[in-house]
Amino acid sequence: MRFFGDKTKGQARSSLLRSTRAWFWRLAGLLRKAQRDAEFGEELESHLRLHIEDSVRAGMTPEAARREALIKLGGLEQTKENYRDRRGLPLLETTLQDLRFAFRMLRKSSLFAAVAVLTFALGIGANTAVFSVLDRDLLRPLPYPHADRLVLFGMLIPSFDSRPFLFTSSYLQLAPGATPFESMASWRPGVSGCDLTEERPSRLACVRAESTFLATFGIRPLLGSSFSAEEDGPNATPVCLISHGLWKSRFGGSAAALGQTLSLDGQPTRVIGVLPQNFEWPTLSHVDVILPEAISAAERTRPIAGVVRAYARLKPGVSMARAGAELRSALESWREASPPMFRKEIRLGLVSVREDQVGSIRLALLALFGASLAFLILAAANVANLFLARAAAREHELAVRAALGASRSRLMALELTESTLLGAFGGVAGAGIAFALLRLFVALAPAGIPRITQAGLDTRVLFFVVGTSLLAGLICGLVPALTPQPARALLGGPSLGPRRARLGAVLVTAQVAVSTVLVIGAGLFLDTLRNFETVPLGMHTSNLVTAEITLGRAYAEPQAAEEFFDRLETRLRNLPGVTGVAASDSLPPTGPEHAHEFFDMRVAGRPPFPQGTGGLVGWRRVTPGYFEMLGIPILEGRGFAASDQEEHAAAMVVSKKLADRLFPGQSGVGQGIQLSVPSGPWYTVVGVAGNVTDLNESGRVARADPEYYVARKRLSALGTAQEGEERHAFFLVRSPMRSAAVERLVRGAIASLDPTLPAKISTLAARVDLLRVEPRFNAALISLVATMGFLLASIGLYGVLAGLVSSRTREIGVRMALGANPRSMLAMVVSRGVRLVLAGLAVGVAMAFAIGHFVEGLLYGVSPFDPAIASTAALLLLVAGLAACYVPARRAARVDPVIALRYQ
Amino acid sequence: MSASKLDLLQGTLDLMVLQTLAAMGRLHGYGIARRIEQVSGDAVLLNQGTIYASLVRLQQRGWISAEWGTSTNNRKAKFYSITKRGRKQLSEDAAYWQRLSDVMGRVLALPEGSNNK
Repeated sequence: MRFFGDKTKGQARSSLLRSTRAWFWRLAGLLRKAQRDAEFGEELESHLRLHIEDSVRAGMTPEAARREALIKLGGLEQTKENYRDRRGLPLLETTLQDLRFAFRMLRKSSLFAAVAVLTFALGIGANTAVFSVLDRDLLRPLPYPHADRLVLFGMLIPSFDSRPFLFTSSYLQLAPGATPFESMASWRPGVSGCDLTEERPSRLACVRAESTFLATFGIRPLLGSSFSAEEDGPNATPVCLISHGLWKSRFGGSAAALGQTLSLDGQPTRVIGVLPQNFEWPTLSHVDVILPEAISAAERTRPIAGVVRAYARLKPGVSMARAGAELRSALESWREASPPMFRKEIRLGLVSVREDQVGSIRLALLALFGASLAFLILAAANVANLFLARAAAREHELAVRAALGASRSRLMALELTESTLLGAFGGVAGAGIAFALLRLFVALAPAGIPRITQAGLDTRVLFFVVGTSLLAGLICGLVPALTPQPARALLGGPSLGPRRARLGAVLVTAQVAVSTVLVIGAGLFLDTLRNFETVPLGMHTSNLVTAEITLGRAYAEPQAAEEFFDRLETRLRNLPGVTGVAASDSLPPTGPEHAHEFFDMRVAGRPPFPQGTGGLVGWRRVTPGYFEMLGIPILEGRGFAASDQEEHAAAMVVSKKLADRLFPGQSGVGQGIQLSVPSGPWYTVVGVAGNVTDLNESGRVARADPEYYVARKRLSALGTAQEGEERHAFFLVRSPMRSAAVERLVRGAIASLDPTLPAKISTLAARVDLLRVEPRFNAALISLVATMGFLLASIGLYGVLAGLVSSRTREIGVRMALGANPRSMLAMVVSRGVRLVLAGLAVGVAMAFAIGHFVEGLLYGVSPFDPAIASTAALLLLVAGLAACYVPARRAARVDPVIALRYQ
Repeated sequence: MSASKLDLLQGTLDLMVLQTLAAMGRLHGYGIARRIEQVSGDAVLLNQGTIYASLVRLQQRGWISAEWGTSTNNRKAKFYSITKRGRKQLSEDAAYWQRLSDVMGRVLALPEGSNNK
């Protein structure tokens, strides 16, 4: 109520209150809208009545009085309109009205809505589930501050190990000032089991790390502190840090845990810190206890006495490339310290921690995301087609609205509201589907996918869902809106204008193309899986139960371990129903535990092999029954006998591969072989065994080194046994009984000797099968997506053709009336359909070949350009296309010219 | 509508309605419109319907209150009355208008060319 700004502060404040109050009034005006409108209508009526009465009293006739009253009022509708504008909030009201209307329209065409929502839900659900996993692994920050600066570095020797490592002495020689790193930390490779030897014994996962570990990663313990450099010495009193989980389970989460002692492997170890709950070991292994690395004096000085994995934090502003350049001189000194045979292939290993975690599965994850995205596109294209068809049907209604004064933007807003609403519903349903899919993933996924148990529907993922569903809905709604129809729509019946028909055709072609890619992909992965499963292993796997035993510190004396295994073997042999027992230090198809350089052997009567040649040779320590139980054929000579286990026996069985290397063209039986040249023991070859295939962790055939076998004896005399090796053994138990029963018996036998000893008992078939989990998972997933995509594309094709037929009904009627053969109408529809499919196939095959190069790493035994698979996929889609043509084609052939012509 | 009706902004109409209610007490919409027409000599209201927009505004700000009742002729009508807040507002605005009209009167009374001395 002010014209010239002149408010005092108090007046300003109260004016703010006033407008706020006014706003609330308006908001409230939205509620009970109808009631208020009716009330106002009454008020106006009473106004008119009063005016009319006065006029009549003054002498006018009732009709003239009414007319005058209306004029003076200024128009009934106008007044009501003004009142309504005042009373509510126009924009919000319009949106609400749109929503309500959209809801009603969708209820009326509920089939369309249901199909659209379902299609959306499938696409969005699958995409969300995959995104959730992807987000956790590739996008989300690691739980360390400035995690992008954390790296794993060292030497990369591909034939030795796939990840960088350093010799302990090399690592310790790194002068901190001379490196591109702010701080470094190392740990002994491998998460080992340590026994919690207490009333309730259990096996924990322990790592041994340097005192700088937590500081380098920026992790602050929840309680207590990390161990210092002094506490990290080889002779210091043992201390440890425990995980959050262990803290909760063992100490009930009480602060009194600090200072308590755990008995680990028989050693009392004081707890000095508790790790935070979000703590993750950089290799994502499960870790219960962190112990000090305790590097011995020997390791410090003697080169290659031990290896460590080294992590570091780059100095701020130092890029990986620069760090790599700065480490070149260090690399040379590492090369010098390495055994000669490896020197040539040593490269610098420098990867970020994230790359180390996901590098191996990044390709699979991205392929999976690509597939799910393709699927979403298919789904969206289907819904867009549905919208096009529906728009064609509603044209008349929309034209009438336009004629009545609805502006184009209002009509578009209406359509978009409908499609966004569908998208929103689809998103909600999709979230549910994603949830179920994630559960499925976690249950089926191979161990190699990190953090999959953490993948869930959290805020980031939900944002993704909301974003995708709204976007999908919006785009699908825009498709018909952006292809306007000529005004003659008011006159004619439903017709698919030329532009829209073309758009529909393009959509279907795109769908067929995407579907082709998916189907080809599925074929490739299924073939890969088949190749994996049929790889000949060179051994039998049935009827064999395996027991993997690792003896704890209690068996520290070598004699104690051997004695235990001896007694166990006897016990196992005496079990009822057992027809054979064998032991080994490693089991195929996992490769041998031990290996040494080829040139470390020497054949009697021949000159020694030149240094640095030949690669590696693996070996296993086995008992006599080994070959027979695994069905490994003895091609020449004999296997081991009991006599070979005596102390001074020196028998060796070589694999065919090694025999071909050492004794090409002749029999190796009877030859003498010396190990640990030049002064090691001599062995006599007593037999040649068939080759056994080694598979690595992802089920691929490993680059198998030749191997030989020696008999397990009382005294181990080969190689440098690393700590704990003699305490690790595999037992094979053969029995025709059901494996579950045999497993129970074996467990009982072990427990009878040592009730606190945990053992991993399984069947050999199950162990082998485990290795195939990954290819099986890949194949299953892609096949699922491809099948669903295939169905969607077929449905899409059907929809477009059906729309085509119904829109050209009149034309078909005319043709038939003019004498055309119904058969030719059928042919017209079918040919249109086939043309669409062929176009889609061409594009699809081209796309598949273009992408093929990238997924080569995931395949095995099949090329991504395999013509057989491509042609099979093409055939499948062609057949599907023909099937989709069938109904519309028949309908076209059955058109009754009379009815069609009358259709107006 | 004839061009002679004074072109007034919303705020002034609100003020007139408030004044009418303050002077006349409880009135229905028609009555308020008639009163304003009488007092301003038919020169103000564009049409009677604009009263209602004004009444809604005043209600939203809490300066008037409304309730259904019966008129003198036993007709059902919605009656409005000014609230205490409304009276306060009215006195403030009336004072403002008075000052304004004084100033405007003095400014407009200046003879032409009086600045060029």
